[in-house]
Amino acid sequence: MDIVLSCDKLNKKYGRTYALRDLDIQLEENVIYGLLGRNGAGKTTLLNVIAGGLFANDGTIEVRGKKLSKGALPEDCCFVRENNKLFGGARLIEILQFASNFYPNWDWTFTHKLIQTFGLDPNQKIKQLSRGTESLVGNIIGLSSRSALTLFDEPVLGLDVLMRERFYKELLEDYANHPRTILLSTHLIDEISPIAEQVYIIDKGSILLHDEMNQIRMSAHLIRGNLDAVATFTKGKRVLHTESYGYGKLAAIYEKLNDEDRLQARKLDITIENLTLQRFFSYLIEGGH
Amino acid sequence: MGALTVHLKATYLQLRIYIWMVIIIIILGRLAEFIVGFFTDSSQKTGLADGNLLLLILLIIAIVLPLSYYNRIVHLGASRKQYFWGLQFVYIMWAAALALFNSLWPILEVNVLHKNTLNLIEAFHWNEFGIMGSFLYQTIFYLMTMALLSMLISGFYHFFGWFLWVLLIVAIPTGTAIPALRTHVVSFFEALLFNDSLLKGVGFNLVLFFVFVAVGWFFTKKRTH
Repeated sequence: MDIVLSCDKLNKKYGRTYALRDLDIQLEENVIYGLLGRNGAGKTTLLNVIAGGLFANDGTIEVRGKKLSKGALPEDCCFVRENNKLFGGARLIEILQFASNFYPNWDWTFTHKLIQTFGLDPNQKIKQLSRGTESLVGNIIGLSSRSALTLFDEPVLGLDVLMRERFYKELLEDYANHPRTILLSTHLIDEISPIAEQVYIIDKGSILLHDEMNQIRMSAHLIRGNLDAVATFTKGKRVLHTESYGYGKLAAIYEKLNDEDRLQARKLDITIENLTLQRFFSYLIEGGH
Repeated sequence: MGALTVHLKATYLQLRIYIWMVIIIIILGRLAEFIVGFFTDSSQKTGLADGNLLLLILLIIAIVLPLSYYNRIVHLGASRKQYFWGLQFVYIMWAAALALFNSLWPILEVNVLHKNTLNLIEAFHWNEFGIMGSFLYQTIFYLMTMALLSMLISGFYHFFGWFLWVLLIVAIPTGTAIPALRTHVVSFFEALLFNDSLLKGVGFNLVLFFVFVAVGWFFTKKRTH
């Protein structure tokens, strides 16, 4: 698959603090990526640097093999910010009309469908909107823009569960019909697992893990058993976290288990559960591997 | 909606409260003048022409837009380049509209309203170039002033911008206090505002306008959002 965007050794400092440190990512064409990280991990900074809002101190960004000059907006890119500053006195439809002007692939039929799906009043003033509805306005722009590279920063912030589900559904349906590269940062980790095809986990400004969602599903396990049995079973495997309770022990591992491993587990009386993305994320971050 | 219409409409949304404030202040002032005129003989009194008071709007535009329009339009998807050229278009439209109003309104004030007013056009002798000449001189002068203000405001986000502010603040008292420099300052403003030649006056203002626009673009390119 073609590489749409590639960041090489990106560094961004605020004073003496590194927000991004030697960060490398590559985004392939027509893939949905999840960008996960704790608060302050560098997610928003990374998205802002990619979208040209912030200037990296060091490193390069390439879009389709062409080096992007500092602060330049990648071509055919839409960045939906966590806190969009909008024209308070404008009506919702006016904001969408303004935005449509900056995206060549904007689809108005889809926009009207989204307005209906999210139950919005196109004539409502922006300053009267709730936090959640403001997120929806940003999401409508992000989806309707049909940009080849779409970046969403916390798109479901302030949304109730019903609206979150509607947003994910619309995103997936539209992506199926109009494939493009989408990078979605969120702290609602379990919600993104059915959406994202690949995941980047960022911590302290660096990429901690990049893998396909399926790989994570197949490799993230929680095992429980006797202290010695667990120690024997985990030998040579990537252990993210361990916890002892009496004679028992549980361990979170990141390893693809084959039939031989499962047979060994049965012999050692070890139970194996799949880890949710949320727990995998927590163990990985806490472990700092 | 075309790109330029978007900038015009969106900037108006940012500015309308200020624009209406200026208009309401002018109307209230005239209303007070009218009421007082009933009780006193004010036929000989002169005030600043309404069109000149409206020029306040241009100053407000050049201050407010670089401060608040940038983030809003960029967050909707505009690039720095689209923002900056959109802003220049908005400046041109407003400068031309108010220059036109200022060129035509005095005719109405003198011939229809029979009012004695002080007018910048007369003060700077721009009326001597005819309506079209006066319109052109005003437009370019207003644009140059807006570009200067806009550049200074955009410079808030850059070290060099602060340096320009300091330079300007120091230059004004120094230029007027030292007699040797004062003559240069006077001739500078004479060339800028009281130029006997329309071509030279407009040309001088235009050169400054392009310099301020270029520096303004330099600041905008370095601006984060």
